[in-house]
Amino acid sequence: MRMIMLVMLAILGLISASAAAVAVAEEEELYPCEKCHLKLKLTGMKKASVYHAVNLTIGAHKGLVCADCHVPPTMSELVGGVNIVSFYKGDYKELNVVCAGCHEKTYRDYVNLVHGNKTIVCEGEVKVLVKGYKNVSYWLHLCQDYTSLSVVPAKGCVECHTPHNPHYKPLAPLPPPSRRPPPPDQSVIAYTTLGVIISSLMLIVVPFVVELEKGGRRGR
Amino acid sequence: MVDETRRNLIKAGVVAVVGSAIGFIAVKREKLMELLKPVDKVELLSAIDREYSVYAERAKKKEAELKRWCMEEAAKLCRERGEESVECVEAKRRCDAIQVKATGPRKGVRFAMAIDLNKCIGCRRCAYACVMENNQGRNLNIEWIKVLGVERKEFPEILGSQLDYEMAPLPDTVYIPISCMHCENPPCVMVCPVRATWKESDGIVVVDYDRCIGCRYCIAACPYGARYFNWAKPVVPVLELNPNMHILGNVPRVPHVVEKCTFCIQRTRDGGVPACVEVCPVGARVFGDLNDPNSPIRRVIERYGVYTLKSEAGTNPRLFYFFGPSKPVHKQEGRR
Amino acid sequence: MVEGRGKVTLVDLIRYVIAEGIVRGGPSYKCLLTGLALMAIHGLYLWIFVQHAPIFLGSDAGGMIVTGMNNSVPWGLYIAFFIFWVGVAAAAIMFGLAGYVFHHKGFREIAVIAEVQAIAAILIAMMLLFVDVGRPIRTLILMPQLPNFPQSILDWDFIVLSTYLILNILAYIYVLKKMLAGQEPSIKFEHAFMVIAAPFAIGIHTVTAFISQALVARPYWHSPLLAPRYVATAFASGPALLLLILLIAESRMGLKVDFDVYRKTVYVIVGSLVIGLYFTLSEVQEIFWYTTEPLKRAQASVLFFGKHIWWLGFLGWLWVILGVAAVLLSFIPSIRNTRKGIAILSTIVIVAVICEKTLTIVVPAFTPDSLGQVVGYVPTPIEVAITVGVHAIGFIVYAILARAALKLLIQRQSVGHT
Repeated sequence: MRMIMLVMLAILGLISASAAAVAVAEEEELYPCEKCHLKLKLTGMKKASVYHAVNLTIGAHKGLVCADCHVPPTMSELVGGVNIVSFYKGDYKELNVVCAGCHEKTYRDYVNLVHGNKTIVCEGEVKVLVKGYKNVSYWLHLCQDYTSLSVVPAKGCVECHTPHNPHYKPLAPLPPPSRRPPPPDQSVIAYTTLGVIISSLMLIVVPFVVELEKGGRRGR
Repeated sequence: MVDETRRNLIKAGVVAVVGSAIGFIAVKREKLMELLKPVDKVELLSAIDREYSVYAERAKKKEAELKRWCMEEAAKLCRERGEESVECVEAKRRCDAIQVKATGPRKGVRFAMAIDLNKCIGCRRCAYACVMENNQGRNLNIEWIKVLGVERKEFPEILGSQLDYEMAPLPDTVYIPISCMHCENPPCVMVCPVRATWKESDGIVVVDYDRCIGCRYCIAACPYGARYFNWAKPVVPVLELNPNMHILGNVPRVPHVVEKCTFCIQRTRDGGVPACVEVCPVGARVFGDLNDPNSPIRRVIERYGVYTLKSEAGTNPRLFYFFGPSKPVHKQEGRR
Repeated sequence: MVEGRGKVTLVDLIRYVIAEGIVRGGPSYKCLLTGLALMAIHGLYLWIFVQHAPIFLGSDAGGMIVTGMNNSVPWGLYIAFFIFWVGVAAAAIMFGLAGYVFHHKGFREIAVIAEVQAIAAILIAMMLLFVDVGRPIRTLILMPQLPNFPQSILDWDFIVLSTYLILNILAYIYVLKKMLAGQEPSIKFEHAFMVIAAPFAIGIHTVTAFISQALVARPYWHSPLLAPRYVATAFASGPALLLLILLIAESRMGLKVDFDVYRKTVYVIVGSLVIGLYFTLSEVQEIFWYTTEPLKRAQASVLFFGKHIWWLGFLGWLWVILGVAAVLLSFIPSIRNTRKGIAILSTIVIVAVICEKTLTIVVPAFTPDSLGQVVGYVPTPIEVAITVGVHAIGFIVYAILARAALKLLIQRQSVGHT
């Protein structure tokens, strides 16, 4: 029975978002499960499959089985009463209940805006991508009115964590901070300063010395 | 001769005595007694009854000025790129959207932020988002957020930390994003000779750019290196301008004034979260109201506990750090 | 030229000072003023048209970006010399004080020159602050109400500096008026002045140290020894400068100074120097033996080992070497008891204190900065030019006021002797 689920999952995993509707139709054709599972030669606890590239023997969901989340026999239904179709439609947040089933504390963190991204929502919002400082891009909120904003979780769980291996992939760091730009070239100022200081010192010292000499001679 | 001086001295003395006597009678006794009362620090620091109408007026003026400037720049852009070009349209849209607010603090709110050091991967996206959200001068390289890479030891020692790492995250490194701590007891506010910077009642330490004299005493006093000086005229291209502005926050600065993180006052005062919180790809940042028992920040404090940086300085920062639920595996695996 | 006029008004006095200080000078004196004016104009020009161009002219170019200061080292050459000149101003009171305490006629006579030095030094100090501040016009906010008075030490500094400046100007006007009228300045006035001004003299330097000493963010400054250290070396540099001026006045203008004044002042200078060196020793012990504060140690090793910035280490040790040398030299009778020797000694002391009190006080506190980053600081030519210009203005004031006073002093001496 478990193998059946696996194959179903494998096939579903391969189907792209645009083919979601077709996928549901195809479900019927893929029965019986033996069609694929005879070829796969899956044994024991190894639940890897080349088709859907899901490997539950490693990664963060190590040790789980497909049925922990996918309700057999169709597998397109998930625990918590949502359907996998939401994923292909892009309603990621609907799938959160699946994760919440096990990760209760984290989910409560998520609901309380502790875990995960948060974003602001405003009236008449348009998000524009700005390419700015050091060519890094940034999503700017353009609103009609900025005085009533609210905060919601930005993404569903599966947007950051692949359901089958939910570790977050680290991102490459952006370039390090630069220091204050160096002062502009001041060689001209340096020379004039030097000139002014030297000439005025001459102006100060030379008459002084000359008079001192005179005075000295007179003194003698 | 001596008599004359003596007479003069006596005259001066009589004048002084009469003057102080008049002063003593004219100024009410209660007022004198008030002078003798010990100063309430909280009252001094957070000018709760600050008149916000002054700022509203100034914001309106600033808005008109900025719109004029923006339109000029947009017109320049249009002449260069053509009237129908994307840039021209976008610039004009940005100019129309400019809003300079003077939202005052809400009563009973005390903002704070917490950063999960187990999650932070040191990617610096917060620093860049901050620059773009807060209209920093692009020519001056001011970044209000600095991310320090510190060796994972018993206690992170800031000395010897790295600011300019190129690879992250490394497995044995903790990344500590640093910005203004919005201290309860801010040394920068104490030292400002003209009260150009102060702590608002909702906990945000702000700078009045129209009052700052640029003496940089606050930069010297800040234990977190969170204040920055505009060493020249800051330049913000129109196409990168964030039209959502606050008069005490991200309104484009004038040259030779000090600026700092304001918890994105233009967003948070109106119910949002700071840009760094929004942009953080791992959701390491948590922002909320300390006084609200249901706020995210309270949940963090209750569930995980928090610590502050340089707590020995006695500044009581309101930017907390905590080590969240688990150490992410990508660090354990040592991905580079 | 001035014969015991009965009543001297302020206008008379100003007219006299301008006549004697500027117009009647000899060719070499005029050359001196011209040279100083040249530097002053050059510095002022650079300040208005380059460094503060965005403020004064509204231009896009220029700005304080032309200085070497940065967000890690926000204070540089200006504040460094500000500290030095506040010290010089503070120490000027010593002469009057010595005259007051010991009833020493020689000291009492030259007290007016000390006042001139205090005026000039404070002017230099305040102008250095003024060119350092990003928005100088806005400092007018400080004037009427001192917005953050009890807390901000800069406000305190503003009060004590301006009060001390005004006190000295008043004293100068009073003494000059009396001398112009051919009268003896009253002892009572002098005593009153001393009693009021002496606390302010110590106060200006103490408050200047308080500016930096209470900052938790800068461990190198964060020690209660800073204020005593400032005052100690101030009492070496200030009198040394005054001795040099007196020696010049003696040789050039025929002023007669009691040699006892020199000898006693050298005692003060050497004593202060010894105390200053002792404080340095005390600081070194505190930092390098048991201090576990890593940042303080790192900042101290910038100063004492020249880590990151070699010339700071050089300056730091130059202070110790020159200080010790000056103390040792003062033991030699042929140096202590001759005018030439005292001139050499004074020069060494001034150089030593400049080494100790200018950039070596300011820069190590910011390297490494509070986040442990080393950015470093090198003054740019424009900073040097503006600093020189400000000093030139101060010296012009010094020269004019001192010459006016000296002329009267010499005249009185000659009258007294004949």
